[in-house]
Amino acid sequence: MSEPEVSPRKRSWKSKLLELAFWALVSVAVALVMISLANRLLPNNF
Amino acid sequence: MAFVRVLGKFLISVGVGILIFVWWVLWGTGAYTRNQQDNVLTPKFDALPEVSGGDHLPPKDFDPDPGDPVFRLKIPKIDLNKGKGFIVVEGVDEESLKLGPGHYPDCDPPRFVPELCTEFPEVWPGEEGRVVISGHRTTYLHPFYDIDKLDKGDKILVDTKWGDFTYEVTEQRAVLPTDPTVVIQKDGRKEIVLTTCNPKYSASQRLITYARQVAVR
Repeated sequence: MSEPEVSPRKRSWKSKLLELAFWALVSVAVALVMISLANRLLPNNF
Repeated sequence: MAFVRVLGKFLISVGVGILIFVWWVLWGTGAYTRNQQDNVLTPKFDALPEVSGGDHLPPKDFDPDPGDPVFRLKIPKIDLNKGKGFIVVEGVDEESLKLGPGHYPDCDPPRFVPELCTEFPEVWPGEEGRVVISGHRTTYLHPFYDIDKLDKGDKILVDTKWGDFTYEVTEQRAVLPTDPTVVIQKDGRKEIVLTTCNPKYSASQRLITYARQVAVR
């Protein structure tokens, strides 16, 4: 006997937008950390 | 499966963050330099008093502080800063070079770390010896981005408060960053030397452009 199929729960557009905003925030945070470390990451007089 | 999905999204976000950083390095830093050049250094340079007298030499007490505007540099062949040229500032330390190309200072009085100044007396346009100017090639509005396109005989124009000087390119060569001979004067010739990173997007060498003074007015 096979298990009954469970249809994936449909997410609201608000939830998707919130997740997108979260990952965008992660991107910006990564960029800011790298910018603050730019003096160490980049060679002098580049 | 959910973990892999989250990890994938995380790595994509980190990748986008790195792309934002690269954008900032290549173009974002230029916004700071452009603002300093247009809104701070140009008015400050224009307000400096003209030096009278026909000898086309800087005043004896001319001793600018680090980051002060000292003269304007134009290179018509490469349309430097869309023809406007750059205001050159005193000093080649990190902060000074963020403002624009920097004039290599001497170590007396000691205002700079020894690696960023010369034991020889600093030279100004019109004086005998080498006027040494350093500039970024990749970041901070990359003033010397196209400097490798200069050929022998191309003009370099320097406008100071004591005269306008024209130089002609005589030689270009790449040296190691540690090569100290750039600032050493061979004789009493009036020269200008532009130094920048080489090749583009790398700092493994310095590209040195030598030019000789051919006219003053």
